[in-house]
Amino acid sequence: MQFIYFGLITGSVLAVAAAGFAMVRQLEGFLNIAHGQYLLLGGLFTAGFYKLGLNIFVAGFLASVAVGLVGVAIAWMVFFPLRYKGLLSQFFSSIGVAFVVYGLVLATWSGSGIKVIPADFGRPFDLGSISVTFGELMIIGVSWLTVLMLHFFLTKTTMGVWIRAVASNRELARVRSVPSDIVMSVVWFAASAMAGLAGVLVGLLGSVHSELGWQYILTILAVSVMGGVNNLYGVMAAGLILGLVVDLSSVFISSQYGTIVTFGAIILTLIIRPQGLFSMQKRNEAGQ
Amino acid sequence: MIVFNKWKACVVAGGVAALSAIGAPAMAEDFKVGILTGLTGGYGPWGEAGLNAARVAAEEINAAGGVNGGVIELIVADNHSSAEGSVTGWRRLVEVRGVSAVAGLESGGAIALLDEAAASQVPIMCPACGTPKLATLGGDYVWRLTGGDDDLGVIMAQIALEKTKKIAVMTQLGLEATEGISDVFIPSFGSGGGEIAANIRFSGDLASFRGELERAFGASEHVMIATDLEVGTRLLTEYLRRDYGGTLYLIPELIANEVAAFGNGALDGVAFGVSPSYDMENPAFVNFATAFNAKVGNDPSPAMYEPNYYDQIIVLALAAQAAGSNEGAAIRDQLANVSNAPGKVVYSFADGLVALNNGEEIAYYGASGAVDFNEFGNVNSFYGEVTPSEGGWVELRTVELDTNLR
Repeated sequence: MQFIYFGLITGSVLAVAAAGFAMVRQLEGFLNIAHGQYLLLGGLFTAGFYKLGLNIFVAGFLASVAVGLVGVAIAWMVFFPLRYKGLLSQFFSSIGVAFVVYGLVLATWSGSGIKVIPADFGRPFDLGSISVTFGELMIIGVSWLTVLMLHFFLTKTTMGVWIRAVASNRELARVRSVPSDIVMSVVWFAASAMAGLAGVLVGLLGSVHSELGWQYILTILAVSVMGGVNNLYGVMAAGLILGLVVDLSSVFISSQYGTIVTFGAIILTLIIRPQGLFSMQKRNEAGQ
Repeated sequence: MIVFNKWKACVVAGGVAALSAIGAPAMAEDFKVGILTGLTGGYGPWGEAGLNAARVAAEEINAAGGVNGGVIELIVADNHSSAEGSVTGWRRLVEVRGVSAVAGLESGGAIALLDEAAASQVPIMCPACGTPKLATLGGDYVWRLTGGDDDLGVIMAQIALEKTKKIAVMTQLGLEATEGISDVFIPSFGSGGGEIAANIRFSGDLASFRGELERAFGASEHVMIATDLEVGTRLLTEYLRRDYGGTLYLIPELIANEVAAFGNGALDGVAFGVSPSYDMENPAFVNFATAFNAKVGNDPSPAMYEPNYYDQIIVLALAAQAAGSNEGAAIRDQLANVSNAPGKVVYSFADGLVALNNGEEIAYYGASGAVDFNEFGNVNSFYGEVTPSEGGWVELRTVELDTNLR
């Protein structure tokens, strides 16, 4: 049970991180490799704000908002101008952006290679047969609250309707006077802020280190393939499942094979269900 | 007029040439030594401290008159605490800057450059390499000034056996320093009657070590942790957040002040480790510690290997002086001659220089202790059991190696 609980923590953070990645994929059509570095920025900004004396919740919130703004700025500077040059241009540019952000972080990184956010959430306590901490429960809670808020945002607000309209058919949405630039800015802000939030949560679980972004982007890609890159909810569910699978697998096999489990899951998914575990594509085709 | 000027110019040129050949001394060549060490990455704290110690040595050597009439110049390159960074840094130092020797390397870099050092005839000095591989592979162009992990692993087992008979071992994969010490610790602990409750090997790339910690502390309250500093910092942060308690045994890679300061003293009396032990009354150590304090503003730490970093430069300089040459091969041939008995025991470069100029044989006794190289370029070290205290590490006692556990 303890390892299922650990898997739930890992999966919850992955779900938040992958949801933002999937939003950009759905609306822009390319895989944003820089998304992993936004996680790193989230963790770093939180460590910085917390060091300034801010409450950890305020620090985490501000860090997420700051990463969201960074994401929008980069989108306007790099990805929007490249929109009509093709998806490959945007994809390779995102790799470039990832290296630029990573390089800037390394250049400005001070002290040791690790940033520990020294927030204290108290001692662990038993919840049935599981040992939990308030910090871990908070991470699970914040993750799923964010996912729920995203769901309500997309389904119950005018902006959410616009976003879905642009995702379905950008040209038609533009003809119907949907302000696509504003919509895309909101999407980039939300997606980047969610990556930042995932970085905050990772930092609170353990620590922030310079390779965090590269580590997570591979897992996020795996989650996206598993969930079906065009299915936001599928990606979130896949994040949860992959987290559970990886943590549970460490009970039976050495964790040094964790990467094999992760990417083995991708290969298996691609062989059995290439459109992703939760993709609606086939069902939609069948319904037509 | 033209004829006169030409005649005058010939006289001046001839005079200059004659003076150069007969009266004026030739310009002595500087003795260039590369410092290739981890100033960033997992070994960053040791690299920074060690560089200060090496600079203390260089200043002392130059104050005494330099090497073969020239000054010693340290050329520094950061290998980012990795074998790959060591290979890149080596090219810059050896092939571009033309250094005579390279000092400051860690285990991974030294092993990666073992053949290259011999091919280039450039000696490598390892102030703190622990890898057991050097116990038999060293001595040609790779020399180390500390005992190997084969000794450290045994001593860690001794310390652990005094506290428990059942232990879990957590080892980061892919590093000479971590796997080497665990591979010695595990059979030694078993030889002493102990049981390895769990042998957990993991990649440092993991996003979280929760599962590994759970398995380790599920198996025993006593856990030996063999990781580099970065991974260890992340792992110990999670350890403290989940409040596992128990007793930790940390390899030298984790005996850093950053670790001691964790959780405002949460590891005091909970974590134990092994570190080189120095005779603080030995004149070489006193001389070094005084100069180090004057330069850096604090005393050498028992956990940072500063005396070893200092000694490697003094030994290189004495060897070059004894060889009368700055060539790598000539220096290599003299390393054991200036360090091992027989010979007049000297405690500083200045004393060694005087003795060498008098035609005497010398045996350098360094700040880290006797530098007696065996046939594989290894020395014996003394070790102490250390524990965190007030943000630093304190030595609890010296530990004598129990060879029965080997």
